[in-house]
Amino acid sequence: MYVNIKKIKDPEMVIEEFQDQYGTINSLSQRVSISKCTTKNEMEDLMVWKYLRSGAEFTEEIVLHNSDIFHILTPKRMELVDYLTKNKVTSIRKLSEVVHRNYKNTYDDLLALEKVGLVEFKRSGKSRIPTSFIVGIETIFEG
Amino acid sequence: MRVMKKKIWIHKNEMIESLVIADGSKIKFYSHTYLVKERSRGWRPCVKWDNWEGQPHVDKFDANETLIEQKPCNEKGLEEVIKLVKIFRRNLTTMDLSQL
Repeated sequence: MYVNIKKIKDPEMVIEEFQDQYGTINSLSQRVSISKCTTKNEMEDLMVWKYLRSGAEFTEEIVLHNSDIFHILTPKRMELVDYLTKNKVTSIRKLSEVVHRNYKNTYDDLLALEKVGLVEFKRSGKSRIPTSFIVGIETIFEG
Repeated sequence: MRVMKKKIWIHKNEMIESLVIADGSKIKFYSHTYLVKERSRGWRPCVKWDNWEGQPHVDKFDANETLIEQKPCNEKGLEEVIKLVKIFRRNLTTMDLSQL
């Protein structure tokens, strides 16, 4: 049995993240050629950036081959994921208010969800904004 | 054109990160990395198969994430890499790269 989590991200958003991290595609390209492609993340980010710039679609999948996921996907946490896939929030505190939960429990649950990629955080000044790009979760039983 | 990223959990502390860039059914670029989670340092790459500049090869990294060995190999699909990783797991880091 395995669980397949599908995400779709706006390519523009991915490019913005690269710009924040590396500046321009040329500066990343230089870094990759200096390191002779030995740095995994930089080499992959360069390829992704290059193709997204020319209009490619971007999809992400997380595949879990064990049942650990069911310990993570508690009803309360799924409620957070569900809310974040449909709504934008400006902070963790705002999220805790709209789901009527205390801040600490909401924060702890978001961290657990982040570990398996169900939730991502975007920095905005001092605060961390939780978001989720999940479009589907599938459980597959192999015969 | 599609950019597809995949994270495949093999075990709680082991996973494969895969990046495939495809134009229809033609694969333009791939990179499949076996990573292990270290207690204090997070995820670190151990072995990576990719076709940078159209040259399929396999890389091995040490504990400091420094490239220590590189060998050419056949093009590797994700399914083949998953199979190799599931068989050899952490032993991959001590294996002769020409066998991969």
